[in-house]
Amino acid sequence: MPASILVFSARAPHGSGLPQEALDAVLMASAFVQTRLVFIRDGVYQVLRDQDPTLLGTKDVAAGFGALPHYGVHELLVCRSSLQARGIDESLLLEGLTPVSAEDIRVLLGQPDQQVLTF
Amino acid sequence: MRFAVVVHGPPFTHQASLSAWHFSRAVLAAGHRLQRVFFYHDGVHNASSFARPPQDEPDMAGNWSALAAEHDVELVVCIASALRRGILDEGEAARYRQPAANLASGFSISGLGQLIDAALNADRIVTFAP
Repeated sequence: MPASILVFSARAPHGSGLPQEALDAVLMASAFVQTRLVFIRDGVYQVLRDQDPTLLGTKDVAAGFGALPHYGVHELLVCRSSLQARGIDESLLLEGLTPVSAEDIRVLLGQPDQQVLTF
Repeated sequence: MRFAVVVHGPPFTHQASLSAWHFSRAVLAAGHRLQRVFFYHDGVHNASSFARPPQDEPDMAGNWSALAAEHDVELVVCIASALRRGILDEGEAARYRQPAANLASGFSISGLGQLIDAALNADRIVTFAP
């Protein structure tokens, strides 16, 4: 039985239901084992500051990120390569995120006893 | 090996569900164990008995039902995703006073915990997404 779960959230917010469903999976997983959340590819758009999805009449998924530490999810990681490819400076991100390199992510993937879920 | 398969894609619109089904059959044909197929996000549409594709196109609900019956595979549909998209078993249809239920045979509705349980108990968990 794995000791941890690594969740990749790879889709842009607002236009897809997957970010919300990824967050739901992270919260459920955290009830079982140590869980890490990594924002990659277009998923990095989820963690830009100063978004207001209420203008769309849709739910603000990012508002749920603040609850993650209370569920024991302390590692909210964001892929630096994905940020750079999209011209996003780290100063534009929400608080509480840890930028990581592609190499850091490779190391995480190589951890024994870990299962990976991708959304 | 013990496999779990996760399906995020709906029938017809994306190849994900068809690929997941082919992969599931290959897993079983190779003698591995398929512990569970978990339908999440738009994958829940695979479980709708209301879908009526043309005769010359894949009937994904029928395909999955047949797979479950033949190989005793658990097909689990996430309740939160299902309710959002209008996939209801008899219990949920009654609870929400809907005119009909549409969960295809062989499928069951359950919680997201079943996805995490699959992730923690399978040797490999493979996700098929659009």
